[in-house]
Amino acid sequence: MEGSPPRRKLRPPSPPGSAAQPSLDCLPSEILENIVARLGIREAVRTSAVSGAWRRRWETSPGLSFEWDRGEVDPAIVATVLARYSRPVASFRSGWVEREHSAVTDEWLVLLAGRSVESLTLGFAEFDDRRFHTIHSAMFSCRELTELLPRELPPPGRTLGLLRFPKSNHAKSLTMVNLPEHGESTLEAMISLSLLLEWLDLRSVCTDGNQMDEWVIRAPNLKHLTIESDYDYLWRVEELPSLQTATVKVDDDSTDRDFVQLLTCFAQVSMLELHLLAPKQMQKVAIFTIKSRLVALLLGQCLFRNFATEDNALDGLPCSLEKLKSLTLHANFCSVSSILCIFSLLMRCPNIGVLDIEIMGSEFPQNDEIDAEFFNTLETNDLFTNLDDITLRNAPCLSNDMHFIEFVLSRVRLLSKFWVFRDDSNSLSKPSEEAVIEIAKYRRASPKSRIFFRSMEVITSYFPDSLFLILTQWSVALQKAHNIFYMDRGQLTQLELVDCYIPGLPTCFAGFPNLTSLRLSDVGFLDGAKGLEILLARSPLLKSLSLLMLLFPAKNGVYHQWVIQAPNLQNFFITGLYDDGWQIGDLTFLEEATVDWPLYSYDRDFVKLITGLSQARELDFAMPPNKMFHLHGGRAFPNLEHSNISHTSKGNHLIQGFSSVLFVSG
Amino acid sequence: MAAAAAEATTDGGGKMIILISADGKRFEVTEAVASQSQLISNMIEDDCTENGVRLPNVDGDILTMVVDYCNMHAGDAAAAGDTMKASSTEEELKKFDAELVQALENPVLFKLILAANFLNIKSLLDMTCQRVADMMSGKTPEQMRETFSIENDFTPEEEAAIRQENAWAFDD
Repeated sequence: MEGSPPRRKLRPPSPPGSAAQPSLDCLPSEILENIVARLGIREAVRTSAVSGAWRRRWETSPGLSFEWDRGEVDPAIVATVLARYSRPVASFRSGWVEREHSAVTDEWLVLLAGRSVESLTLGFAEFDDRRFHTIHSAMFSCRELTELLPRELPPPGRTLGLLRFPKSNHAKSLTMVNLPEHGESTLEAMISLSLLLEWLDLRSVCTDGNQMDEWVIRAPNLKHLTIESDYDYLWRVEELPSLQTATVKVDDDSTDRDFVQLLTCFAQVSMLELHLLAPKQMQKVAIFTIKSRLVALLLGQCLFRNFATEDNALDGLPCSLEKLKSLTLHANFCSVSSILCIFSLLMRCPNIGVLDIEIMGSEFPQNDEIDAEFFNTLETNDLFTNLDDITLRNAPCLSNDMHFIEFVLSRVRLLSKFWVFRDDSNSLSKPSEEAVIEIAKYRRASPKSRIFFRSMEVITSYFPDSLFLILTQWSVALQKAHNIFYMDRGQLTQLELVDCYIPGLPTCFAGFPNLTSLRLSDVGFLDGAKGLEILLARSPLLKSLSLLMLLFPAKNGVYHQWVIQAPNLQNFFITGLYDDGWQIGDLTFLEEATVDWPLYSYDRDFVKLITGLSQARELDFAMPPNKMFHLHGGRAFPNLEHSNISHTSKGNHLIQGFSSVLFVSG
Repeated sequence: MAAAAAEATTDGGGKMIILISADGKRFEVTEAVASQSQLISNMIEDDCTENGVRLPNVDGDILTMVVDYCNMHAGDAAAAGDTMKASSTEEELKKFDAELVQALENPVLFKLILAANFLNIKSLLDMTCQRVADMMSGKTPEQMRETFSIENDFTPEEEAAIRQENAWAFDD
């Protein structure tokens, strides 16, 4: 406590513009109140101890925000503080009210209604299962309320009910709405009476009653709608002409929702996330989840999960999703109805460029076998006009999904990539080899299309130019990986391995005679760099080589030098952590090279290294931090056009070295 | 209406008006710039700006800042329809505003508040008041007094009672 002398001096406010220097207290009281209203409630109240003039200033500063976090203030005090304040409240937030304090909120609401609160947020602890405090009806007298929303405070085990209805663009809130029996009609009325409502957020709104009647959400200015609940509370949407984003997740299968009506109401949204289910017969389900990314900045997720019954649940859907460029579907190919659902949707996405389908439920047998004719009967002339890139994940490669692949390949004229990721964990999946042989035979409408097939299985079949193999996560499938080196490698042109170990090469390994591109990322060689050397040396057509973070066993911490020999190599990229002794042989046709190496071994021979790179037109080279070297001999950089040399300040010697090389070469 | 000063136009198309500070400094600005001040905007409407607008409450150095501010922000209103332009300068504006108030000595800041209040330029008033609020936030009453040279006229007993009354606001 400060023991200042009790002097009372009144300083007359100096007139503005005069020579006297104004102090804070010279400002007119409405400005000082404006300043106080910008403070947090604690600080605003603290100003009362500054001086006599400030003693009651906070109490008369209009537009104060009363916001407390959980545990910040004893709820018993809140009403006292509110009672002392006499002006309109800009916002009131009490993030957490324990059960024993629920009753005091009645007093708050009465006070707040009298102080024209604009924004209200109340969060309550739930006392028992689905038993909530019922809010005092004074809430309905808060006529200035512009936003009412709940704090997102998940109490242990259960989510809170959220109700949010702002009258304007500003967002404020009220938490935890427990509707009395037949409270849905109150909610319906509240929503339709809030004419300026732009944001409606109904998450786990609970009701005391067991029965609910159908009720309608009608809001002409609503832009954002969120409904999430475990039960389907029989809401319907109607007349939402301004809707921009919608999120609907209802985990309830007991009602018959009209999906067509629902989606029609959502036709103009730019972001849609739907997750609904209504499975009457599990065997006939079409699982459907849509995630979509819209063009421009509207990154959105659009999730649609619909368990259709016998018929195609989307049949008759009149709207189309014109803005959609990229679509992720979780769907299954088990039944005719589910496939029809997929096509119903795709036909409504006329501008889609990227399609990603994850096949769900592939562990179930495909009930209905469809054939190529089935697809041809669909009205699909305009389908996929812009489709460029398709991914099919978890593909069991059984009849239905294979027919889908065949159909897409035969129709999509602009397709450039088709990724097929086989479902390796499914015992029903067709063997990779058979699938690859079959896919290779399919007719393709797009001459530039390339297919990438990913599997952990042994594949020895032949790969045409446009069919590539991607193998990942091989560390778990080490024994199987072994076999790639025995297979008929004649046609393999591109090989990419990620996160795996390469076993010792078989003695009979004849190389990949047609391999042009090799990319190894986080790949280890169990018997050391020798394996990679052999692999490179026996792949004479290699043009592009990327080596990222390779792992070789070191003997007593020492790496043996190994050489990258690739007479036709044009593009070379290497990066790693420790200098494992790699060297460059004669790369006569090298065009672009990137050497991104943070730490070279102390004895690395840079003359040799740079000599090896000397043919490059473009070079991105990480310099050693502190190394001086001299180049002798005639090799220089006759072709160098671009170079990007990163170095530390100590690398200047090398730069000089480089300059002199360039000078000599010039 | 057709006074000489008011005849001049800029490429912005607005007429020019003259603002005259307490110490007689003259500032020529477009109507668009000046009408960010609600006071001047009203005067323009009432056609009483021909002979220049005298601002006896505002010193020349403060008026320089106000005019700079208004020139900088004139784009807001003018480019309201041109969102591209508005967004491209938003960053600059923020920087300009921050620099404008950050370095001010207290008395200058208060003079600027008074000028913004008198001229009724809401955005400038908001910004300067916010600056003062920022200077107060996180401070104890002692620190607030120190920052703003406010004299403590409470007796120790009075101050203790005030702190007692709202103890929740004072314990850190």
